[in-house]
Amino acid sequence: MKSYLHIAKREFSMLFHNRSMFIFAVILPFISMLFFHTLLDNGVARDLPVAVVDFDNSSISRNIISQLDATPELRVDFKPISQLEGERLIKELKIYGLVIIPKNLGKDLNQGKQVTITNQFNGNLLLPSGLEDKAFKRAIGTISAGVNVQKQLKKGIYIEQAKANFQPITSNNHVLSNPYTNYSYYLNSGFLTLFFQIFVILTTIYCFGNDLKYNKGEKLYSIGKGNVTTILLGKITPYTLWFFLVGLIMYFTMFVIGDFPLNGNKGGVLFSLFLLIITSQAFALLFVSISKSFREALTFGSGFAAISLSFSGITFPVFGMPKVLQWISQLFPFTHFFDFFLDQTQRGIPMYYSMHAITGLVLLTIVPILLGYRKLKKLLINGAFLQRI
Amino acid sequence: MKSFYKKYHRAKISFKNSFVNEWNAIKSDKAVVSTFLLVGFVILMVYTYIYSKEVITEVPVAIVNQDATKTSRDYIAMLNASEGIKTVSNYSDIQEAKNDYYSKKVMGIVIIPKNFEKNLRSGKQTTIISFSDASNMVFYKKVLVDVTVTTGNFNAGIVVKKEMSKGIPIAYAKQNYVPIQTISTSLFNTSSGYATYIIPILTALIIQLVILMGIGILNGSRKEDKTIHTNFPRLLHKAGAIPVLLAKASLYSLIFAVILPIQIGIIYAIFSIPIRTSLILVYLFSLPYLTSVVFLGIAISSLFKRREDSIVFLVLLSIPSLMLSGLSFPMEGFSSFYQQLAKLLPSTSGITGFIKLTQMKASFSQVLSDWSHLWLLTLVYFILAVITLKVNVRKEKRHTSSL
Repeated sequence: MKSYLHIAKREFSMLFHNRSMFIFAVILPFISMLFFHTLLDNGVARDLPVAVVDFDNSSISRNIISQLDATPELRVDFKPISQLEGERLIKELKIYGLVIIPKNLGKDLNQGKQVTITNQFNGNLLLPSGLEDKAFKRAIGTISAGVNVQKQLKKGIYIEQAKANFQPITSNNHVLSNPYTNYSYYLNSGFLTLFFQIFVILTTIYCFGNDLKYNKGEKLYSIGKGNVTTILLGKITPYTLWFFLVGLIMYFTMFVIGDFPLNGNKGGVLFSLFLLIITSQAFALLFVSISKSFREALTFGSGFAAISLSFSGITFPVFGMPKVLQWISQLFPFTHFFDFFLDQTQRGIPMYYSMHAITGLVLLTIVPILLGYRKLKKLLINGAFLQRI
Repeated sequence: MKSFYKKYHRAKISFKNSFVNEWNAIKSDKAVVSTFLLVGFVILMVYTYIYSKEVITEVPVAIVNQDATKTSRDYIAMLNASEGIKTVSNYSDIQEAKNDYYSKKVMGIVIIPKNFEKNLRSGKQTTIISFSDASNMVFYKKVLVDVTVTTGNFNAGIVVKKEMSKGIPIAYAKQNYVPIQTISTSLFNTSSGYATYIIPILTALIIQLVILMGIGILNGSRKEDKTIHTNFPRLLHKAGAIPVLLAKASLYSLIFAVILPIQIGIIYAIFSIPIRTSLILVYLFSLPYLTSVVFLGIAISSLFKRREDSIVFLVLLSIPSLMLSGLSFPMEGFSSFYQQLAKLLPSTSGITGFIKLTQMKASFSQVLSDWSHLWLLTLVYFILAVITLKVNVRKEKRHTSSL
């Protein structure tokens, strides 16, 4: 117990006296929170620039243009005179989509003929072009429905009936979890916790690497009186505590300042934070134990943490990956954490259904420690990594 | 004239020495070689494999059919036939569907109300209820879009049939129902595939990541060993830094002149990601991108005391640079501060230009603005690199002479 306190005290002073440590554990976590929160401050993309080629130049076509402009998503910035010029604007990334209104649109509509409006969007930019196309379809759909209903009204049909005639089935769409489809809630839930995980892993690797790179492992071993468990606990628990505090501040920025949805079990949300910290520390220990040098351990750690994001399914669901990768994704603690986190923040489902994720996280804490324990002991007795660089 | 020749000669020798020195340092440093190979090829390969299915299909959706009539079953069959979702329809009540939603067996719920068929036949409006989960935008979009589109088509079918029963020809009935038709075409990435979207972006981003990491590791170890001034002895001379920096820039450019075609040739070919430009144009465009990244790398590596520090910082930099490039979340959504900050990163223009060339089949004149911006960055970071290098060497010399 005494040696445990000795080591733990030593670590706490390192947190504020070692320059790299201070940067990773104290400065950068807060910078990353500030960065992501302010970057996606708006959350929803508004006023995406589009161009409209108006071959008709009638009052109806001008009305269509102003209706497009009036949607929250779109802003008509350019009115090129030809399709070619519009396509050039797309290639220069000045616009996300090009709407083409054909000649005689107004005339044809008045005569009861069907007309076609084309939208060419830039499929290389998934998010904005998706929004653009959706807004376009909705705006034109509404105008088209208006024309249809107007026609019926002229025949003397009562407006309610005209609407029912046009749309026998309406749909009532409920959006769960993130009803405003705010991208800050969506992406920052991933980015902030991912960066948090990176910092936990890196700090843990640093706290061992610092000793092992400069041959202080032996000294540590003697302070701990040869008890590896004491040494590990002494070195790690101060950071577990510290990062729990940092994590609480992160949650504060998310749920209190940022107003992220928090529909689930609040205790579960805190528990997920704790599990994320200890499983990240367990993986960091594994990386230290299997590396030949400090640098190698850091490369493993940062690479592992960075690629966790893609395996968590936030950008592209795990469901759509090749089978092998679906299995591999289960080996990343972040995948389970993110499931658990979303369950208890946005989805707001009963804790019972998060048991799968909790079990995964607990297993992924125990297994890496078991795997790395013996090698780590050897490393501490040796006092240094095999290679300096 | 003679003195000019002398200067030129010295510069030439310094260039050659620096080039050889840097090359040897790269070759003999396992960490740098593995960074180039791992990040340049393995990581890119893994990412491409993750996204190789390109689009999500057959998202399971629970159907609660409270009507149980032929019309409702027709509607479900139509929903099931849409590409994005797969209907799971053995739910008798909402609670049951909810439980499966909780355990993530289904990603959304659609409820068909009682009297669905009866209302339709008597000309009353009826309402389909859908629940989609926006905690994952991909699933949410699939469910919402497919339900909306299916309902729209189903509606059109009903209305057109009704009109036809009045004796109106089908073509006219259709025209009448949709006075304004919309056609949406996606240019370039026609199926909105995820790999086709992200891999070209990553290819360009990885250039920046690999070079910054490589230079950071090399300069970090030189700093640890205090060998910058012995490796590059002419740094402190007047204009002495220029040949050194040019040598490094041309070395890394040459390395990437080999790496890029392999990446594009192998990975793009395996996963059939299109390339719509020539290698010459890619080289021409990459030149200022590479040089600006090299000089940026030299400038920021002076901040790091030890070789491992650089790895970490640069991994942290990669997601922010991806976000700031404006190709994932639109640039219009960022505050002007971040829009300006983005301009300072070579990756912003580098990625944009690379995408325009390889994916959008842009001509070189259409990437000229990005290209010239990269030359501007090259110049700025060149000056910064000269200053930081000289400061470092001075510090080192003072330190060694005081020993």
